This record gives sequence, structure tokens and C-alpha cells, in this order.
Amino acid sequence: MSAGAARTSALLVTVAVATSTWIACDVPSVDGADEDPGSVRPGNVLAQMHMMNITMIEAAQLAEDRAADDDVLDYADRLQKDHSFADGKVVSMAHQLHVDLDAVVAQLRQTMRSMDAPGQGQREDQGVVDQGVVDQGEGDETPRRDRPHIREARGVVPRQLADMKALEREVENLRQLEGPDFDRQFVRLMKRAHEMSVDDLSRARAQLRAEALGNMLSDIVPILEQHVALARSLEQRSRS
Amino acid sequence: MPSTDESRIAPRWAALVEAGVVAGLVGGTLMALVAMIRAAAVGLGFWLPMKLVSGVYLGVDTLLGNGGVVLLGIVTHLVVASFWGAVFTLVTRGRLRFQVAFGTGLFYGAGVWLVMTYLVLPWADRTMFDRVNLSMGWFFFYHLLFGAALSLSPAMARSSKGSSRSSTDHRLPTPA
Repeated sequence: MSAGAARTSALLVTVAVATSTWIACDVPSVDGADEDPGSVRPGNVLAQMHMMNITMIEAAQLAEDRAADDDVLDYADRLQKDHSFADGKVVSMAHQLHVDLDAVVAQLRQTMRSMDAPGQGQREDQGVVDQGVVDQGEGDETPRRDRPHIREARGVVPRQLADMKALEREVENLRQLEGPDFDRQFVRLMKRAHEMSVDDLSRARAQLRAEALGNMLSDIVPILEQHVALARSLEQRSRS
Repeated sequence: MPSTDESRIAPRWAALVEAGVVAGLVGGTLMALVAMIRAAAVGLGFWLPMKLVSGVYLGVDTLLGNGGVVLLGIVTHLVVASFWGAVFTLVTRGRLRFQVAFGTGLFYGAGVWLVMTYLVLPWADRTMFDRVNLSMGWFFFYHLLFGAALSLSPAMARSSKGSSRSSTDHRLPTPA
């Protein structure tokens, strides 16, 4: 091989390696190179949003049967529509980012079932949980820690899971109420749940590296803030 | 007795404004209908777009609104659409042929989208602005529809009774 051909070959190989590296770094991938345990993972954010949406829809459907006040009924209707629409966006984003949403949700629910509920109302500093993720895989030969849904479920703060668990329990408790008692408790619960969600998603938005998801959160967080504002408005009206 | 020039100019501008208002109403109605049908199709509720327009007056409470809120939104939307329609026709002076008017209308619709989305909504109607971000592509499309409808206005202006040609004709003395 002549010197010129060798130089050309070396140049081509270098370009190919550089281009491949650039492409690999640029593609948003939930399995990607990011192994920083402090980072928020798109999969767990999407899974928590999905779980929150389902809980909000369920609570709103309860309100349709049990609420006494027309404004509360309108609020519940708005919540149901908005969270259904938002969940469509979440599912679509999960598909785009190749996240197996059902598997990650199942993993989180397994973790929630194995948790003891911590003290109510105590918000811990943001931290990372790497343990307590129970393997559900059956017949999968991939090492447990490397399975996608396990990796996605890592990095979930125990406080967030405890809050989700408490919220679901409170929504269940709403079934015991009716009329003005239901209205009061429903509005208070929705306000608290949405405030919590705004907090968590705002933090996630600041940390996310997958830009598409960060943009989606930027669009969704203001809608959740509107839900908080509506709940406060309803509380004020009921006081006056 | 008004001069010939004054009598030719005044009705001309009136005809342009009238044509622009009508075209704006047509465009605004088309835009609103498509937006409401789309909102219903994605499960957000048929009346949501018009409720969001009322957010100018009611803020976030507009989302809990009833028929009165929707009506207020419809009226506000059509008034704003008429305004933009009149501006278009005054600027183009009703002189464009249909094909040119259509293209100009599309550009104009895009311009209206830009002004409304980034200059007007953020301070006038934050509730709507926050929601529009979720479907910005569709919001832009609605404004293109509006602009396309405005392409009717030059023809309307030319065919109206107040146009310069017809007013001049009416003012020519009939020979004895």
C-alpha cells in the first residue's frame, strides 16, 4: 500500500470513528452512556407522570359521581380532560424514547409495595435510590442491573414513591365521602397533589438531558400550575 | 357639497374596512370551528378554545366557565378577527388578484400568529398562552386558515357599492 493510500485510509477511519462517536452521543437514549447516579432518568419521570395522570383521572371520575358543587364538577371535568390529553403525550414520548413504560411502572409499583410509608408531610432532600428495586424479570438472561426497566426505575427518590402511595390511598379514601365533604377534601387533595407534581417535574425539567422530554415538561408544568390555581380559587370561593 | 376627490376617497375606505371586517369574520369563524373540532377530537372539549379566549377577562377561572364564558370568547374572537381582517384589506387596498391575495393572506396569517402568540397573549391571556404551547403547530395552522380566508377581501372590496369605480360612476352627471 502506498503512503498516500495509507494516509487516506487512516483519515477515513478517523472520520468514521469520530462520526460514529458524535452520532452515539447525540441520539437521546434512555439506555445511554449516562451512568451518573445523580441524574434523573427519562423513563422514571415518564412512569411517574403516567401514574400521576391515572390517579388524577380516577379522582376526577369519582368527583363526577360524588361532588355537590357545579364548580367542583367543572374542575373535575377539566382535570379529566387535561390529564387524559397529557397522558397521551407521555405515552407518545415514551414510545419516542424507546421506554417500556408498562415495565417501568410495574417496577415502581413493586418498589412501592415493598416500602413502608415514611412520615407524612416530610419532604426529604433529593437523593438517589439504587437499592430496593426488586427484580421481576422472568427468564431474562440479561444481568439484572442492566435490564432497561430496572435501569429506568433507578434514581427514583423514595419520598416521591411514598408521596405517590399516600396520594393513591387518599384518593381511595375519597370514596367514603359525598357532597360538600367530598368537595372540600377533593379540592384540597388535588391542590396538594398538583403542587407536589409541579415541584417534582420542575426539578426533573432542570436536570433532564433528553431535550424532547425537557421541552414537553416545560409545556405541561404550566397546565399543572393552572390546576393548582383553580383549586385555590375553589377553596377561596368555598370559604367566602 | 363634498369635492369629487373626497367623495371618491371616503366610500373607498369604508368599502375596504367593510370587506375586511366581513372577511375577518369569515376567517375567524373558520378558524374557531376548526380549533373547536380539533379540541373535541383530542378530548379537550369542544368549547375549550372559546373559553380560553375569555381568559383575557377571567384569567384561569375561565376554565370553569359556562355558556356565558363561551359566548364572551366567541364575541371577543370575532371582534379581534374582524380587526385583523380590516387591517389586511386596508394594507392591500383591495387591489390584489385572488392568487396573489391568497399567498399574501397566508403570510399575513403567519404574521398575525407571530404577533398574537409572542406579543399579545403572554400579557393579555396567560391561561391561553400556556395551553397554546402544547399545540403550537395547530395554532399556527389555524392562523394560516384565517389568512387564507382573508384572500376573499379584495374581491369583496372591489364588488362593493362603495368602491371608487362605482362611486365615481354614480357621481357622473347624466346627460340631458
